[in-house]
Parts: sequence; structure tokens; C-alpha cells
Amino acid sequence: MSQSPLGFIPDPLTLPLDRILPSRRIPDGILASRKFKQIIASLEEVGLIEPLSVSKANRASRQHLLLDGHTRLLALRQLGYAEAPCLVATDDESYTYNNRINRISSIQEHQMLRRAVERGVSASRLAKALNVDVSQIHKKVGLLDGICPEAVEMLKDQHFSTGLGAVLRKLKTTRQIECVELMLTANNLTAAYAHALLAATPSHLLASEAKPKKMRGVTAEQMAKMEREMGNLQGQLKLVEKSYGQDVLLLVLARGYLGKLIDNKAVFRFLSRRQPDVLSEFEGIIQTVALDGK
Amino acid sequence: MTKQHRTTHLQMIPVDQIAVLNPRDRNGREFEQIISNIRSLGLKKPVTVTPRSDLEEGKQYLLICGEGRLKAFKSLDEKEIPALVVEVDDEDAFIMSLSENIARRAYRPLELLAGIEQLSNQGYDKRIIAQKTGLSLDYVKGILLLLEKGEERLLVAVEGGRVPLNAAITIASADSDETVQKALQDAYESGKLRGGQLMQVRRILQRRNTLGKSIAHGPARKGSSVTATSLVRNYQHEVERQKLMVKKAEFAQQRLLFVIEALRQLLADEHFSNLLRAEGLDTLPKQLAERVWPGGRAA
Repeated sequence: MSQSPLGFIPDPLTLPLDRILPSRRIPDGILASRKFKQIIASLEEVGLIEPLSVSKANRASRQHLLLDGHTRLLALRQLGYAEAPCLVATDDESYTYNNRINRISSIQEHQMLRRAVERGVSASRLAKALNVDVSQIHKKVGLLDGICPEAVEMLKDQHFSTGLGAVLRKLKTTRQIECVELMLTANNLTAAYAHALLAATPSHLLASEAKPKKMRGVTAEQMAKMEREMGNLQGQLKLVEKSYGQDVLLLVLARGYLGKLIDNKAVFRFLSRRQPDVLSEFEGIIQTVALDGK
Repeated sequence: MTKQHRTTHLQMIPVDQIAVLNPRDRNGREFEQIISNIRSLGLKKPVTVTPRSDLEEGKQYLLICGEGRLKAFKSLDEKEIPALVVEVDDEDAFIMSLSENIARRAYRPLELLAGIEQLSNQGYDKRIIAQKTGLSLDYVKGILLLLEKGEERLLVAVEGGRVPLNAAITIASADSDETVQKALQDAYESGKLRGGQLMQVRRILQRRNTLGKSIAHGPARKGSSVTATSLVRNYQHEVERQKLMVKKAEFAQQRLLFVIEALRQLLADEHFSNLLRAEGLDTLPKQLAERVWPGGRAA
């Protein structure tokens, strides 16, 4: 028999929805969200997958407190279900259920979708269940086509838009790595930023010989300037990124210490007599150094 | 007639009879957490499987959801796992498995922490809450304190691991900017706060000062198509941001170098260092001392 304890009674129940009492409020705007529509779509396509988790019934009201499945309960109501399969938990906490959810990364999603499609699952049914256009499924399946393994490795745990892959594959391998590095440094993985980087890429670093489509409204000089500027900044940003935090902290520490020095009459006298320039710099630092060095 | 759910039944199934349909590579840390939760709190949900007769290596079921739970059970050396058994074809099994992973809503940090608040409202002692949730007593205490003070911004940062809980508590208890700076300094000197984290704290503090403790979600941003103007705007915005960052960093570095050099020269002056010793001011903050005398202080 099992040594690990079970957190639920191994006997599923089917409960009328009105005997399930939500334990917290759903944030505003959920009903209109893309995710909620996706949950509705998946319920319509393949039904409820996992039962809801509820606490033991209250003796007087016979109601069960809902521990896990608040969004699904809403969706079931909206779809006109009268009952829901439930598991009764042995404890009454709701924290651990949600805490364990780890959002699937874009690359994990791509891998799972690709495997499903390769095994013959219809893309149109997948699209329906996930409430996306079928072209979106194809794009996600081909997400990493033409992307080098190094860039893939860097993006492994990230969430990014499907459009990112399409932009990256227009670049040569080294430039792909450079751009992904830059995007991670800037903490900006949007397709819009990737487009900007693509525009700032010299043509010899593009994957195909063909010049990129000319953007209407962007002049050749603008492009050239973007290219230069971006190149310089990338280097600088990488350099300062490491030291900036440390520098600011040391400045804060130094400010505290310098403050103590200048508050001391004897030290103040010494400095004003022998090192007036240093003293006035110190005073300036004490007055103006905010945490970010401004 | 109202809509019906698929019929299922629950049974114990030997873990080595289950094949994973569509594996998801998990990172090690996530997995460690699943294991330790199951060990201390038990399995909170069964896995879902569908029976098959054509599998290799003695497998009799395909796993639809619960890969993390199954792996955890195996590594805890359990022989059987409670499983919901459903009769579906391969295509449905794949779609169910994908839906379970993708069609789910990521909880907002405050929603998650509401689970702790609720137990407290139900009258449970902090110690009991810690037991029920597998969290440490200090964490539960700290979260409840921050909840009580309405520090939503700090709570979100703590939940996301961006700010250590103890630093957040000190910040929440501080009554002025100066106390906050002192708190940060202490946290840094004691090693509780490191480089990147400090920047995070700073950003959160700025927002807390200008926008208040609570967070309000604006409407979701709309994805926009790329046009020449949006491209240039996006690019310029990013360039401005990065330039500012570089400028700030250079400025900070110059000032710091000045302070270090000035202190080094001053302290090399015997009169000055004697004066500091006499006034009890000769101890520099540790990190600063390491920069002023990189090879240790000359005797």
C-alpha cells in the first residue's frame, strides 16, 4: 500500500453546481480574457479533464468549499452543466493546488504540439480546443524551424510570442544568438522589439541574401543610424549591466559613511581646512545620491 | 437534459504500467518542489490515464495528465498511484493532455496568497497554516503581516521571488525613506540582498512611492501589427531606455571611483586616520573597505 499520504478521498463524487461554494473572488476581467475563452473551448471539445477539488461538506448547509477549479466552475456554469465531478480533499487549504501550477514555457508548448501533430492529431481540432486559428497551431509547430540550438537553449524557460521565431529565422546564427541575448538583457521578448532588431541588422548578417522588405516610411539613413546605434549600445549595456547594481549599492554605503564623517565636527574642520574641494564633493554626494546614482 | 460529464472511475495503478503520452520537459527546481510537497502534504490530485492493449514493455495505460505527479511518485519509490481511468482514443487523449497544460489560467500572486489569508480568517494558527501548506512558519508570518498592511506590491514581488521576504517586511515596517535605505543597507551587508535583487527592490519602491501599496491591473495590452512608425517608435523607446541605463551606470561608477580614491588618499594621511580613530569613525562598511584597500588594509 502507498506510503505517501493521499490528500483526497479516493471516491469521486458528482455534485450539483449549487452545492459548490467558491472560496475566493475571481479577479475582474477574467470572463472576457483569452484564457477563459480557451478554457471554455477546451471544455466543449474534450469535456472536463480533471475533477474539481472541494472540502468536506458543511454539516448544516451540505455545501462544499471549492479549493481548486474556480475558473472551471465558472466555465461549467456558462456552458450549462448542472453538475461537476469532484474529489473531496482531506484538508481544507486551497493554497497548494494553485501554487504548483507552472506555466508551460513557449518551447515546451511547441514541443508538445509538434509531437501531437506528428502523431496524427488533427491541427484543426487542436485549434478548436485551444480556441486559436489553425494557422497559429502550424506556426507554433514550426516555431523553432531555422533557429539555432544555442538561441533555443537561451529561450528554453521563457514565454514569448509566436511571431518571435519568424523574425529570428531571418537572421544568421551568430546574429540570432546576439539578438536573443540582447532581448533577454533588455527583458523584452516581444515580436515588435525583434522586428526593430531585425531592421537594425546589417544585411551580411541576414540569413538570405535578399535584402529585407523595405519598410515604407523608414529612410535608408534612419536604418543605417539604427544599425550603428544598436551595435554600440549592445556592447555598452552588456558591460554596465554587471557592475551597475554593485556600484549603486557601494555608493549608498559610502553615502552613509561620508554622512557620519561630515557630521563629526573635528573631521569636518580637518577637511574644510585641508581638503575643501574633496569636502564639497562629499557634501554634494551626500545630498544628491539617490539609490540609483542620480 | 443537461450536459453530462464523461464517466470515469478511480483506481490504484502500478506506476510502471503507465506510459507517458506526450512528455513535458520540466526543469529540476519545479520537480523538486512537487516531490517535497507530495512527501510532506500527500498527493492532492490523482493522475488521469486511458487504458491501451497495444503498448510495449508491459505498459497498459497512457498518461493524459499528471506527469509531474507520476514521476514524483516513482522517485519516492511508490509502487502504485491513484488514477482516474477514462476511455478515450489517442487523438482525444492528446488534446486532453495539451488542454490540461495550455488551457489553464496562471494565477495572480495575490490570488495565490489569498489561500493563506483565508486559512488565517478561518481561525487557524500560523503554525497550523504552515503545516497545511508545507510553507515555513516564518514565511506564513511574513505574508500575513504584509497582507495585513496592504502591501500588495511587495507581496507580488515576494511571491515571484524577486524580493526576499525579510527585506519586504523591513520595508513595510519602515516609516520613512531614510529607514528604508537603512534597511536596504543592512540587508545588503548581511548578504540577504544581492546586486540584481537590489535593482528590483528599487523599482518596486519607486512604484510603491508614486502609485501606492496596492496594485491595480490596467486593461490587457493589445497586440499591434508592425508598421514603420510603430517599429521606429518601439526601437527609439528601447534605445532611450538603454541609453539612460548606460548613462546612469557611468555616472554611478564615476562617483564611486571618486569616493574610493578620495578615501584612499585621505586615509593614507596619518593625521586624518589618527583623527578618525580618535573619533571612532575608522571602520568603513565592509564592501567599501574592500574597494578602498583591494589587497586588505595596510597595517
